[in-house]
Amino acid sequence: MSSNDALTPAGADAMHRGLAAVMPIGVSEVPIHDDHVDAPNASEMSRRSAMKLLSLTALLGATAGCVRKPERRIISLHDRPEYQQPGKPLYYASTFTEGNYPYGLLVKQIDGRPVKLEGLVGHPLNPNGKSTGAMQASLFGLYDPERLRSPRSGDADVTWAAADKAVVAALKDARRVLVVTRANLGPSERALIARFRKAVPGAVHMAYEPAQDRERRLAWQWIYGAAGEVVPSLERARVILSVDADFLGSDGDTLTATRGFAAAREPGSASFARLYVAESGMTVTGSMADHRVPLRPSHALAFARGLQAAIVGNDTAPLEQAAATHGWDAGVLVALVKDLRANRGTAAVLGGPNLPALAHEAIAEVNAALAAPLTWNAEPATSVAVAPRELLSAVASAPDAVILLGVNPVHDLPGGGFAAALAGVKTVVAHGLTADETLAAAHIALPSAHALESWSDASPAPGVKSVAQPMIAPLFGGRQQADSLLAWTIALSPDDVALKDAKDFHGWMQAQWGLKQAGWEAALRAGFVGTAAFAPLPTPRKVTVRDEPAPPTAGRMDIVLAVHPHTGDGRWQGNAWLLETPEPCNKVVWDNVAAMAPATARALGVEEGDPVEIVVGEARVRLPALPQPGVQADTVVLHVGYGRTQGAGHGNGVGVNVASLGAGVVAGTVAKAGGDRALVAKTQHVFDQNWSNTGTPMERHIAIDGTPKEYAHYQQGEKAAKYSFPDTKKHKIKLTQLDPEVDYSQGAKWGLAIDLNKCTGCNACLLACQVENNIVIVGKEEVAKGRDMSWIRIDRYEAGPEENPGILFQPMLCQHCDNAPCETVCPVNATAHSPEGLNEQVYNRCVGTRYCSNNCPYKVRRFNFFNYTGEQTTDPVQELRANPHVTVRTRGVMEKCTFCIQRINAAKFVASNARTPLKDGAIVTACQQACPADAIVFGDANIKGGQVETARKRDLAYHVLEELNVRPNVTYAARIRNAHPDLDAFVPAAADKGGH
Amino acid sequence: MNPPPELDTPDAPPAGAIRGPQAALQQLDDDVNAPLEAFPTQRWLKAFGLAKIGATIFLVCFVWTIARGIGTWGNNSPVGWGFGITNFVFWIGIGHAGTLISAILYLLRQKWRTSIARFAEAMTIFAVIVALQFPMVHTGRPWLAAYWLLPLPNANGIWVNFRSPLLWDVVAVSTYALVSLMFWYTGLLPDLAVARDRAKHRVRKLVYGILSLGWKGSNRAWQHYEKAYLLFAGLSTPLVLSVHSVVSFDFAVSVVPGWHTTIFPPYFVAGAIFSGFAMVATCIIVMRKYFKLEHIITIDHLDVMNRIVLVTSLMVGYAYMMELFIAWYSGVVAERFAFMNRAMGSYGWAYAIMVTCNVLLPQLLWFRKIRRSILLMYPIVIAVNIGMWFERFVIIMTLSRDHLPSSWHDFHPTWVDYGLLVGSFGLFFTLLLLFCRFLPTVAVAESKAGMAGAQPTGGHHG
Repeated sequence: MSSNDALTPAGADAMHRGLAAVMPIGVSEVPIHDDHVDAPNASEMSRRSAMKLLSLTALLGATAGCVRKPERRIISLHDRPEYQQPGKPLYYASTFTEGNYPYGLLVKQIDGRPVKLEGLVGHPLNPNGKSTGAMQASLFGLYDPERLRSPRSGDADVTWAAADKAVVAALKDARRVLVVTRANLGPSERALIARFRKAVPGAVHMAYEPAQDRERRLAWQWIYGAAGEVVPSLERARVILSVDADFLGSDGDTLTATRGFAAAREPGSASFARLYVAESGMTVTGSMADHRVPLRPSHALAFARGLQAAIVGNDTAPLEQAAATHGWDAGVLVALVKDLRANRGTAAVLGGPNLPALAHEAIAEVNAALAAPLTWNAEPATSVAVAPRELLSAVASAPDAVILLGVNPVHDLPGGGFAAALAGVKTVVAHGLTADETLAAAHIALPSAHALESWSDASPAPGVKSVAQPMIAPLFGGRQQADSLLAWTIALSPDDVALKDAKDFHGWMQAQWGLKQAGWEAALRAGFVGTAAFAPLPTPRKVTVRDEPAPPTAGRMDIVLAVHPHTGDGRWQGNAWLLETPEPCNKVVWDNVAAMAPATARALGVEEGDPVEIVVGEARVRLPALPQPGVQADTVVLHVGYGRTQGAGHGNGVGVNVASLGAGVVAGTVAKAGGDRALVAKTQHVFDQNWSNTGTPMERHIAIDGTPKEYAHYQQGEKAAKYSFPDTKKHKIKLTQLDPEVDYSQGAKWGLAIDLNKCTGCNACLLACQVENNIVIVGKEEVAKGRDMSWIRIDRYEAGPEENPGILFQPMLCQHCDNAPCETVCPVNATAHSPEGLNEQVYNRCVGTRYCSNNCPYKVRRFNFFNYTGEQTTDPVQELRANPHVTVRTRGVMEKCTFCIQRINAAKFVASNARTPLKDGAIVTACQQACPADAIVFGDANIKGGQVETARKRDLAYHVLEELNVRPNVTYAARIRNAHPDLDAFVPAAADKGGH
Repeated sequence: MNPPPELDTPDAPPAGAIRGPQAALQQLDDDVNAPLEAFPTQRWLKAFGLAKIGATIFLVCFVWTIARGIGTWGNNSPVGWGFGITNFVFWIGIGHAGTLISAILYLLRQKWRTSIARFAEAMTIFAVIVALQFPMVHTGRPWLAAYWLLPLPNANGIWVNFRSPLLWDVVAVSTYALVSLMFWYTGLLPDLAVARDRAKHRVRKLVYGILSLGWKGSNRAWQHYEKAYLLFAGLSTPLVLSVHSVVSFDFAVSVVPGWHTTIFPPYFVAGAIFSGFAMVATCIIVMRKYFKLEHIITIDHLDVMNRIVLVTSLMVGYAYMMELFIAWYSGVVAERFAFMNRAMGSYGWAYAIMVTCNVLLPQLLWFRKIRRSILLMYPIVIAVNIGMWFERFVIIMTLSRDHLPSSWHDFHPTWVDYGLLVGSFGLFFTLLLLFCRFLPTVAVAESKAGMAGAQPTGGHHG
């Protein structure tokens, strides 16, 4: 039952056999114990055909007549694949190949269908088994009913054979062919492309990314003398400075960065790291900052140069001068320089993707001077993408054929113009999951297999190869792009023996890996081979100083075309789960907005939702404004990738396409545009009401933070003047208990603890919960009405000046109160307490009075105002996505966090069958499992010295709204803002700490 | 409150109508039964048509809600209750005047009550009927709520939760509805018998005959009747106080700041009587005019009712001030904010309406002239109706700003919300107009008992 099962020998054996059942074609080399499974007719009742039958019967049932519930048949397997037991999960190691970083993946598969993705414990990139939100949510794409279901030529559906024939015919006589892929191809795919180029001599391969940190990669190449990536080791850092690098949210390998950062954030320990962030927009990284300096992107070079002079040249004058010119907080910068100097060897500066190359050079000098804890990856998983202009001119030069594999430049090419350029190309072949804009513009459109239906590999780190294996046969007759490319290459070079032997991409990949059968199986079992060996950071080359670029023209604003922390560069635009996940800092869902400083918005005369027009050169876009505290003045932050028109399902028509403005940071003008105010849907509306009359979250005993000095005062038992630290030690609130005390000391007592020092607000927990617990999405209008359904949400509190507020993230979920106020008010006993302290919701019994929700002080209960699940299920395939261990809720029913009761019970069964007591840590909730910062622990609070008990005993531990005597079972650790001792008064949130 | 002077006997009937006590009694029968026996007037038909349109709107919105779900309303998280429970509490409150008049004033021997008692009781019944629609339809799964909320034995062995104020509501309101209905019906018996005796058509005779349960007016029947009436009055009296106290527990028992206050039970009862009397006045002023019952329901009666409105307005006003004071005095941040926000937050406009209509405007009733002028008092009682609806709305909107600022969210009603609100008045007036058309609107027998010469002189319960 545990995730380690797949790694044990028994699990490995089972895995092969389970896999054989799933993929009779793909794993034919793996020895199969039962002969009949291998028999020719065995595949007749393969998962694939069973799936087909299932959907067919469903379809027939649905279309047979106007019956409310279509008749369905359960087809039992005639030849049950061995080891696959109904309802019993199997786990497979794989690799996440849809992102820029190939994290290890553990796929949970029940009855042949993948239902949950988790990080792979032990994988070199995410050894703690953590995952990003996108990893969790990528399951959506597999069961997306929008997926293209047949190859198309023009407007007609064609067979694969016909499509292949057409492509091969087009390629045969082509003199110039352009193959465009993403930049994250694995080694085997790169080798295949090389072979293809041999078969088609005129072929050119371009790796295209709509929003890669290309400039930074080129800058590093220039500075460090070789292609590669800087990899920070933040766990070794004590002082971290980010210059416009959202390393915890959307920039680079966020899992590794978050893991390192979280490890360095133990309040009270000697290695408690301090984070300085200078940034233009408001990001999760900036939200975690102990000191944050709003920085206009076009001033970044001055900032970096000033820093260089201060650290390398020991001259703070340029920095102070720049601070005076640009309005940076000089006190913070002085402290920063002091801190950096004092922490040589443990201080690191991270530069963002949009900085000019010269700023990176300055930062490299600083890091070299500081002997920063940075390492070097000489073999990054992704190649440097081609410049958009270069791609455009290559297409515009009218090659004979253009093959677009998994890219959508018609929609997202920075600067635009791709569709027009494509018009001159004789044959355009496009491969994609859905009929997106690019497939629509192609002559031949081919359905791709989903990553979970494909073989693939990756090189996550030097010395490591990671393998991705298919978990299910392609649901809609898709074929993975590499298989298509291989088929065409074979057809074009019939004499290539190596290719012929490969037969398909699986064979090709296995040949590329060159492992013996046992080794290959071991690799499949583990998901990867090798150990990561990052090189030390090379010494930066002395580069002759060039002229500084001219400062931006007056009257222009910096337009930041940012990668969305959830929908990314637009690749997740069809993923309704990610679209409904609130942007961590402004909580906007289903939209991209022009985020600007409140002062800028006032100057423009716009309020939330008012359309603004952004003009960059010839390009102009119009989108709703969003005044957002913390965004630098004269800067507008836009998220790229939105505004899809085709193939994105729920994502069609969401937001505005800003690709025409370019990429990175561009200079442009922003003006109020006429038109109606647009609806901007947010999951949280009140971040900061100046708190003067509402009471601060601190006063309300909700979100508690303080500086190390105050923490020390508290620890010494001195009466903290301003901060009410957790009262566990001294000021125990006297509360009267009316009900008889319940004895929870026998058996288990479930509890959860969240460390606010570590939570970065990344929303990975939210998405993990969504997938695990079959939580519906409700759409923009419903969210705007306040009906979002997430069981866990990340509350965000801001305090202090709107130019630069102090932020606190607080994950909020059902607190499973011992004196649960929801339980007493339910008239039908639909919510009750378990003997193990769980607050249980009985869906069948619930009549939906919503009284429990009213009476919940934490407002964590979610009501099905409509039949959301039923109304959204438009295709039977969507039902396959649901976790069969969690009830799907219907209309009129209240739901909420269950502490993943299905996981509790599963672990209990295992322990009970083994006749062993349940060990601490045997149960991992979905949110805890995903949390990249390890901020969540769950377990039996009765276990002495257990995780939860330890967390509860911390002197930072407190319960939210403790004075209500509801006795919550979620413990929070108050956040310590690691303010520089010189700046203790300057905590961004200081303005609200006046007491009352 | 002081009993109004000179009310032991009703005002003198119109000149020329009196030929002696017997004739006056006959006249009373004629006047009260006239609307029952005549063909409906154009005016009645128009009013009924209007009310029916309202009732139809109610039905449409009701069915739509059940068909689609509560999502058709504006409710959300954190505002789990919106117009639905506002309307429920509002209509339950309306019902209170009837029971107060028929029970408490009966026990206090306030004889002036006789002429308005029947009408007020009828209003109670209809208000409760309207009110009962809301707890039903506001649940997510009304088809289950309809019987799972009742303590019925079932195979699952799941019992209702007796700790839930909603269950107390079910018990309190259903008891109230049943007792009120029986009380009302008992009072109707002699008058139904009169209608039966006067009936000329066979069907009419049969229907009223069945309804009057064979009332003969015998001494024995009267004795039983009086005893039953007294018993019901005794039974209803605690209900006047208990029902709205229990309804207030829906709020007071919760942990929501702004709801969790001990002042709620008396405050709610006072408010219910306040709104009930205002509603009785609102309707009866129109009714007495169109059914020409001004000599039975006199300006003196309205004067007394206005005094009660004034007194209860002062109680309600006191509660408004006291809850603000206690919130400040408690020192609890969330509590203080809840009340600050109630007065000045996003629903501050509703609070302003509430205070204006419930506290400021009724102060005009200190003036005798205004109390005794239909034209001047009518806007005031209408305002009280509006104000009391808003009072409940303001209380429920407290949900929009509770403990965690992160989940604060406003409530925006939808067309279904408005439809149910407007429609509930349609339903109420439909029932009320049918009542005016088919049942005696004044307690004739009781009124006769209060007339000159009806009682033996020196009667010991006079």
